[in-house]
Amino acid sequence: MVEVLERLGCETFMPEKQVCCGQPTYNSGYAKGSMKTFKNEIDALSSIDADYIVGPSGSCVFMIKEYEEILKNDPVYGPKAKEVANKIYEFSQFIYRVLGIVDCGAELDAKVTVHRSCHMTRLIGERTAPFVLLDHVKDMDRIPLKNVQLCCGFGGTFSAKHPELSGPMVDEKVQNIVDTNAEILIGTEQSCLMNIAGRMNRLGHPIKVMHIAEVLNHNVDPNRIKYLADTDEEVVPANGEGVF
Amino acid sequence: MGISTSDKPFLERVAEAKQDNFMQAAVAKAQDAQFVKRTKARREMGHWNEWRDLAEQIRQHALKYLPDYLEEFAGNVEKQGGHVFFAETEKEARDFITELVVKKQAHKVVKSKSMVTNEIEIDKALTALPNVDVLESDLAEFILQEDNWDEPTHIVFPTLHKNRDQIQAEFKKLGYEGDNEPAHEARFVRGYLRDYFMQADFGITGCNFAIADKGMINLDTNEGNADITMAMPKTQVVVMGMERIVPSMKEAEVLDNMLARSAVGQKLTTYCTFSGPKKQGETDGPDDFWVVIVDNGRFRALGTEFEPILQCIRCGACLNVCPIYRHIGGKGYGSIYPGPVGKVLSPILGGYDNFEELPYACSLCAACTETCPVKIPLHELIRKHRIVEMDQKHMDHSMTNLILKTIGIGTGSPALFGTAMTVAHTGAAPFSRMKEPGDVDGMYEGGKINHLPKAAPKLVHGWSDIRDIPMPVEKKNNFRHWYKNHKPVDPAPIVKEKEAQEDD
Amino acid sequence: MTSLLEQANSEANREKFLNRIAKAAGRPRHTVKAFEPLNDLPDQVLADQSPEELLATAKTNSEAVAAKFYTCAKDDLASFLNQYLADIQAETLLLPGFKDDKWANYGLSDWVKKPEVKQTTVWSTDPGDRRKNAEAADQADLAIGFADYLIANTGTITVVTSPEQGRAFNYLPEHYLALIPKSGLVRSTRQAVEKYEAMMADGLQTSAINFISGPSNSGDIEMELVVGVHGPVDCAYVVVADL
Repeated sequence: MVEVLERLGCETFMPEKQVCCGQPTYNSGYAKGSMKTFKNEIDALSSIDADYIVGPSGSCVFMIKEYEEILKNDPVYGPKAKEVANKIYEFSQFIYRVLGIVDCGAELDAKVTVHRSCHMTRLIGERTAPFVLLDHVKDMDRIPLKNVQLCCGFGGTFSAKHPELSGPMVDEKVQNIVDTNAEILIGTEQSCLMNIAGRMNRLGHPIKVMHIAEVLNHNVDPNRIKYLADTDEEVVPANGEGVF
Repeated sequence: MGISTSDKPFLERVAEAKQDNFMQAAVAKAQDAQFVKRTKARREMGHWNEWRDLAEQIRQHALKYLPDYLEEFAGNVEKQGGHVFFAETEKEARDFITELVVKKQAHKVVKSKSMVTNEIEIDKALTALPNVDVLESDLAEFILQEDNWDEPTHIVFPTLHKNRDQIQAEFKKLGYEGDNEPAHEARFVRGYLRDYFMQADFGITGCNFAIADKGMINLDTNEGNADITMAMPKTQVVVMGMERIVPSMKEAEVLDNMLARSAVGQKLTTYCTFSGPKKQGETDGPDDFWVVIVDNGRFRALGTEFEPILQCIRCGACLNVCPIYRHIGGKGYGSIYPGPVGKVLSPILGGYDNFEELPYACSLCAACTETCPVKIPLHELIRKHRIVEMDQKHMDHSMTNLILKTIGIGTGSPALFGTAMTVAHTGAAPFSRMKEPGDVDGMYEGGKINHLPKAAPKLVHGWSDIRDIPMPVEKKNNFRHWYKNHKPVDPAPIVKEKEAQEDD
Repeated sequence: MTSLLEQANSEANREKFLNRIAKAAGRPRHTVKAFEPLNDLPDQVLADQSPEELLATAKTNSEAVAAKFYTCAKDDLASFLNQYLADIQAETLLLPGFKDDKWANYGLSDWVKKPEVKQTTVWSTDPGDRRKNAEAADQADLAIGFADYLIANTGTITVVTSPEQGRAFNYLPEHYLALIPKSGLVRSTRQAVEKYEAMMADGLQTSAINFISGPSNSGDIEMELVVGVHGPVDCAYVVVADL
């Protein structure tokens, strides 16, 4: 991710003190117990006067966006949370919607399929940017994934707390992936990939997994990089047709 | 029992549901079919999200002024000669209707499908009366009743878990001699129910929407059974959850359109009726029209962060998109309200003690929130239940609780987290092995964990029982270490060009 | 045991309940404001279609809900109905109990006296004939009734319950045919609702307004669509022009 962003002209910083967005505990119901984590993250992210904050996982990015609402009554952290929330983006969303890039110059000669993460598509509302960027990767053959809208069964602590529910979900997802005959599964969220790969590995389906950042950083020819403004493509709305 | 359909523990119910392969395949097939029909119907409508805004506004307005609209509605029913009873509890509602059946000396009670009548368990109470027969007239509910009051699987398609052969076998006991064709089976029911309808002296219906300014009720069905239930018997009782109110027919009409498209992918249900007590000169319809307005715990959501669940119009779209429901079906939930709506509503109506597990049986994927036609933030409300359970009620005393609290402390402190990362790699070493040929590329380059001692906490082996875990990376290989030492990549030529243009 | 039935319509029962929920909500009673919709989408449905386009849309949408759709000039209506009776091989016919002026309006004054069918029953307007009407409707092969509106957007006809055309009339017969004046063609459910609200304000008395979209159906057995559960097994709309 860092290398892709730098190639596209961004100067990057990594705040030393950042740890975790707090999603695992907050989504498990430990609101009070998560406050220290939230505040640490806000302090860390505000410690650098950056124009934008970019994360490689939609669910973490959305959690950080949620700080604004959760901490709205906190006189100190409320305003800081709002500032952080306003400048944070998921990686592919940032490249497409903020930088205005459609082609990152990457090449990947493979048959792939893409898992669309739930939090990125439904909570951030970005369901098209990764597909636009991936469809510009040279030599790549993308096979649509059946029932792409279905959750893979990760869901944070849910996957460990309820394997009897999460298991059939990830099994169905794996089967749909296997049915595409793709060599590589691409994802926008490391946690979904860890879940799906963990199950594929256990079942003996050695399909390679790649995060979208790895794909967009693969065999890059900087001369292929293209801005949306320099093409005759129209901007694809984040929410597609908006009917679900 | 109330809204509970089972006293078995949650995991036992899930295990049973997972044995039912026909049910699972049927639910998945239904979800996929409805996905196509529903999205097509919504797209065809145009401006879907603006319609949702309107529907949400209507429901929120009605809830905001709920006592006022109920008062207006009750007054208008009374003006037309009808009777209204406000029931605080399911027992009051049930006792009231039972008393009415006895007073009217009714013998043949006919019902049309209604969730709230299941909530107050009126069927059981009336069946227990001497010389009183009760018959569910909705085809699916009829099938369930004839199978010894089997539990429904879905709020719109209650018999999803039954196949045509099972239904054929059941109908044989009632004298059916035909084959397993659904059309023939339905035809048989038509005749069977028609005979009953002709003798029915007491009708019970639910209510999709109550029209405050007209004192009428609005019902949506495809079969027409609700209309016949309102036509034939001389006495009709409408049972409605107190939140089912709208100001006028205009708002009901919007919701009827949203409901049909969301529930079954139709523009409108075949029958959409606004109905009240028989008017002078009319020869059929209810001479006696009673409305029982039921609270039964709904007040607990009013004025709280859970109030939006009362916006629900019972379309079942959230069930149709839920990946958990897809695999366990309706019976797994142990509540007459299954799926996402059930996860939110059941603890409110039935108490956290009875439905403690439900809010956790969710991956928070938000498909429900996205599809809801009245914009209930379902997954957020599910998460709010978790916060109530953990932070306010402290309901979890297991190892999981301790681990998550510890994670909360660890992730709140950069120093503790750094130490934990170092320990993780060393600590996991005894359970790990190196990447092997045939392992997934891109995940296990640092090794994998695929066997854990039985004594490991549930939160850990719950994962590793079915999946391999990538080995936590050593400090010298982690991202922070890499980032500190990396040399920034040069911006691409076209990027520099753009920047130069902008500087000009 | 005190009688719960006596509590119905009592102020005590109502006030206790409403005060309790108002308190739970933390909102005072008697503060209701008129509902102001945030958009006018319901008014915009098919707003751009001409009357000819609307009729074509109505046909498409009616057929999509498995209704049989016909248009017929007033002068041809009597022969159309006789032909329809023959086509479905109806032996028993149920007609509404309207006075002659209604029939005359559709050019059916003569036809109604002698439809070409074995047996005709007319819905009785005598309130004592509840049972008789129900049995006639149950036994009728076909009911031919009057509808007020045809909704283009949804393929729906609307019928009010009246002394002349009761509830069972519309729901029990095996086949159902509705005559709709061409002037009753409306765009949307919203438009139909507004018309009924106006008619009720003007004194229309009815206990039921029925929006009917095609024949009765169910998907309850393996989600396979079955037509003709409980209500009519088929449903015809006849739009009558030149009234």
